[in-house]
Amino acid sequence: MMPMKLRLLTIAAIAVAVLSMIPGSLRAADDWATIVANAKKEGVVSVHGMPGKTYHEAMVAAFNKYYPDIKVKFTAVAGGSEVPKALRERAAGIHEWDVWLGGSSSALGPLKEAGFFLPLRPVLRAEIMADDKWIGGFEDGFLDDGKSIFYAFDGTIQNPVMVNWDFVKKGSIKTLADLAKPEFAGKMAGFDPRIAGTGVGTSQTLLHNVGKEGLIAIYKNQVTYTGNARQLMEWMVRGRYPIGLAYDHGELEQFRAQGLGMNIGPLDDDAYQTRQITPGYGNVGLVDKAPHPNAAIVYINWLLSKEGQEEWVKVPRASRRADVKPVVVELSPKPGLSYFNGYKEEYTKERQGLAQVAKEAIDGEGSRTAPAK
Amino acid sequence: MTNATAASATARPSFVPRLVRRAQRLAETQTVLFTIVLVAVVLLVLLPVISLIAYSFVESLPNQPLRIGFDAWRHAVESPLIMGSLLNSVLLLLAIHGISLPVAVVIAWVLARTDLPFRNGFEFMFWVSFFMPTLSILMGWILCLDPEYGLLNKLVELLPFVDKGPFNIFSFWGIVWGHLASHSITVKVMLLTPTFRNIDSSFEEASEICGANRFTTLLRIMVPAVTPAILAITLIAMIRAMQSFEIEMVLGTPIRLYVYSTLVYALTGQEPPDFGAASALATIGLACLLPLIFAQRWLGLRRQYVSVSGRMKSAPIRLGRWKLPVLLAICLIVLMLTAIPMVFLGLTSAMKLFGFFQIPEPWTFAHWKTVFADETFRQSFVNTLQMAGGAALVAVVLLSLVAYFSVSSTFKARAALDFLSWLPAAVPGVLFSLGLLYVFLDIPLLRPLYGSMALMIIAAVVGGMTLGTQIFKSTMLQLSRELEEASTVAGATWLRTFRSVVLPIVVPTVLLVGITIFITAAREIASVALVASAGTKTLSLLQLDYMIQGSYGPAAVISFIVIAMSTGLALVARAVGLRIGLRN
Repeated sequence: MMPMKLRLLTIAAIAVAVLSMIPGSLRAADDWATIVANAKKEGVVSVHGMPGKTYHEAMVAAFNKYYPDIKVKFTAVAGGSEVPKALRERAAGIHEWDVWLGGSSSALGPLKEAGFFLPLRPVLRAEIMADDKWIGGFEDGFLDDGKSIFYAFDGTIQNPVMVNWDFVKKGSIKTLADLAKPEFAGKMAGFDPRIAGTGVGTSQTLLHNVGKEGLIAIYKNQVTYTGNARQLMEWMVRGRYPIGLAYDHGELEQFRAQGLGMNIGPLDDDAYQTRQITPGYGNVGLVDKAPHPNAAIVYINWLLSKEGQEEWVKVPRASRRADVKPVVVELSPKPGLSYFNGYKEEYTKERQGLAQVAKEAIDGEGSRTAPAK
Repeated sequence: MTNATAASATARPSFVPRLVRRAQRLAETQTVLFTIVLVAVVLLVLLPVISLIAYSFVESLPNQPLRIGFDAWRHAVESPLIMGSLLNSVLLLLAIHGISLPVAVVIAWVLARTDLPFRNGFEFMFWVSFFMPTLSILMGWILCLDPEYGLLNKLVELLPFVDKGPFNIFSFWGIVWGHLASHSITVKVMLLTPTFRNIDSSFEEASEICGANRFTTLLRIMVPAVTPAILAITLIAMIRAMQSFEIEMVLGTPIRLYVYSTLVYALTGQEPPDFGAASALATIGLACLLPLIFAQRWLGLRRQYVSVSGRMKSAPIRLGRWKLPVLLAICLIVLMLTAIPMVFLGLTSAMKLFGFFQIPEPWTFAHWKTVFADETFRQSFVNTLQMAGGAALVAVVLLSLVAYFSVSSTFKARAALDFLSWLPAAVPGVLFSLGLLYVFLDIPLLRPLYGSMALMIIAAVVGGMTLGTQIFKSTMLQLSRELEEASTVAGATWLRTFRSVVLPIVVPTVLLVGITIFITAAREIASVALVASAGTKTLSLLQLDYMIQGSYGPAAVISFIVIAMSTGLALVARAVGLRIGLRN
C-alpha cells in the first residue's frame, strides 16, 4: 500500500504530465512570457487565411509589427478548397497548419467532424475572454454547438438588400415582402442562392423576415443572378438592376471613391424584423497537432486582442470587440435592433434547406434555362 | 558483274548481322525509354483519375473507418439543371466550332502555304493572342456589346433609323462570340499552321497540273492531308469547350444559361466544396468523351498522311489578285484578336474604374505602383519563371516522346499511352489537381515532393499534356519513316536518330509546345491551386488574390506582365528556333 503523501505526489505528477501533453493547455493563462519566448524559438506560424491584399495586411504585416521574430506563413485560398487537402495531409501524417481562419461552413462541417480543432479557451488569456470586451458577451462568438472550438471575432452586419435610389422611388419598399411586387419584376439582381455562400446568406435573412412562401415569391419575381461581385455592383451603379440582393462593400467603395453609386444604400431599418451578422472569413480555430503550438497561441491571442481587432477593422470589416472603434460605421450593428448569426452551427440545417427551396423556386420557372437568344 | 555489284555482294554477309545488331540495340533503348515514359504517364495521369473516381464513392472522412456509398453520384445526377446544361454545352460546342474550324483552316493555310506578306509576323500575332487572358478579353467585349451601355450599340444608335443597338453579349450568340474572340480561332490556327507547312508542295503542283483551282486544291488535297491534325484539334476544342467556364459564367448566368462546366465549377466553388459530386459529374463527362477519343485515334491512324519525306519541297503559292483582300481580312482578324484585347487590358490597368470614362481624371498609375510595391510580387515572379520554365522544358522532352511512341513505335501499349495523354484535358483542372494531391500524399515514395516546386511543375506539365502531345503528334504523323530508316542505315542509334533527325524537323513544333506550355503554366490557376503552398505562389495566384478582392486594375497589370514575359520569350525562342531549323 502506497503512503498517502506518495499517492498524492504520484497523482500530481500524472496530472502535470497529462496537462503538458495537451498543447497549450492552461499555459497561456499561466505563463505568457514563456509561451512568447517559445513561440519566438519556433519562429513561424502557419496560418490558413483568406485571399485579398487587405486581409494580408491585417493578418500578416500587422502581426509582424507586434511580433517581428515570428514569421507568418500565410496561405490564402478562396472558399473551402483547401479542406480536402488539409484532411488528406493529416491522413498522410503531414501537419501543415497552426491556425485556421475562414468560413464557418467548412470548419463546422468536414473539419470539425474530422477532429481538426482544439478547444480555444485553454489557450486564451483572461483578458481576451472577458465578457464586457465583446458585443453579446465572449461566449456568443462561438459558432459550434459545443461553444468551444471555432470563434467568430467578426461582427459585420449583412445588408441583404441594397438599392440604387436614383432609379427606385424612395419609400416604395417598406418591407422585404414588397420585393415580390410586380413593379420590381426584372429589377433585381443577386448571387445565386442555390450555391452555398452569399446567396444562401441573403436567402436566410429574407426567410427570417418574410417566411418560406414570401421568399419563393421574391425569387419568382424575375431575379437575375451573377457569380461576379463586380458585375453585380456595376449593374446597380448603372441602374440596369437597381436592387441588389446582397452586395460587396469593397466593390461599392471603389465606385464611391470616384463619385459613382453615391445613392446606393440599404433599406430603412423598419423594413426588417431581424437582420443577420455575417462573420464571413472572420472566424478562428486552433488546429490539432499544430507544428508550432506556441506561435499559434501567440497569434490567436494577438488576433483576438484589441490591437489585433483594430487591424481587422481596417480590412474593412466590423469587429465583435466592444472596445474597438469601427472604421466603417455602416458595417456595425445598431443598438436596439434584432440580429442573429446565421452562420452558427445550429442554423446549418436551415441553410442547407434554403438552397433546396431556392432550387425549387428558380428551377421551377424552367423556361429560362434554355438558350435565350 | 560490275565492280560495284561485286563489292556489294561481298559486303552483304557482314552488313546484315550489323543491321540486326543495330535493330536489337535500337529496340532495347526504345523499350527502356518507352517503359519509363509509360510508367511516368500512368503515375501522373491514370492514378489521379482513378483516385478521383474511387474517392467519389467514399463517404467517410480520411480519419474515419471507410464507408462506401453513392451519395456524391446521387447528388450529381439529381441536379435539375444537368440535362439542360449538357444540351446547352452541345449546342454551344456546335456553334463555336462550326464557325471557328473553317475560319481557322483557311487562315492556317494562307499563313503556311501562300506568299501573303508578313505571314510570319501574323502567325506570331496568333501566338500573342493565345497569351491574352480570357476574362480581360471578355470585360472588353462587354464594354462594347452590352445591350444597355455597350459602345458599339451606342455607335449604332447614332444612326437616324436605329432606336436601339442590335448587340447583346448576354445571349447564346454573345457566348459564341466570346469564344471566337478569345481563343477558339487562335488555338486552331496555332496548331494547323505548322501542319500545313509540313506538306510537300509537289502535291499542290500535281493538283494544279490536273486542272484544279486553288480552292479545290485546298479542299481536296490540303485538308485531307491534315485530317489527323483537324481531328485532334476538333477533339481538343470539344474537350476544352466542356471545361471552359469563365465566359459561360459571366455571360450565361444572368440569362440562366448553364453548361456542364459551370455546374462542375459551382460544386467545386461552393463552401464546403462538394468534390465528390464534382468528380462524379466529371466522370460522366469523361465517359461521354471516351468514344470520341477512340474515334479520333481510329480515324487518325487508318490512313497514310505522310507528307514530310526525303524528297519534300516547300514552295509558297502565289495569291495574285487575292493578295490585298486576304491581307486586309487577316489584318482585321489579327487586330480583333490581339490589338483590341491589349487595348482593353491597357485600359483596365490604367483606369480608376474600367469602363467609366465619364468620371473626372479616369486615368491612373496607381495599379502599377500597387503591384510593384507588393512584397509578394517579386517571389511570385521568380516562382512563375521557375514553374513555367521548368514545365516547358520537361514537357518538350516528355510530350515529344509520348507523341513519338504513340505514332511511330510498334509497342502494343502505344494505344494506351495515346489514350492516357487525352485524360488531363478531359477532367476539369481543379479536380485533376485534387487527383494529383491524392496520389502524392497516398504514395509514401512520392510524399517528399509534396509542397515543392517540383509538384507545381508536374501539375503544369500534366495540365498541358493533351494539347502539347497532340501538337507533336500531328507533326509526327506527317513524317515519313524513310528518314529514320536512312539514319539507321547510316549507323545512328535510335536516340541519335530521334535527336538528330526527328527533333530538328519538328523544331517549330518544339518551340510551339514549349511556349504554349510556358504560357499555360504561367497563367494557370485551376490545376496548380491545390498543389501550391505559401512558398510556391505564382503570379496567376497573386492575380487571383487581387481579383477576389475586386482589384481588377492590379490584376490587369499582372496579366500585362505575364503577356510581356511570354511574348519576350516567344520572340527569343522563335529567333533561336528559326536559326536551328535553317541550319538543319
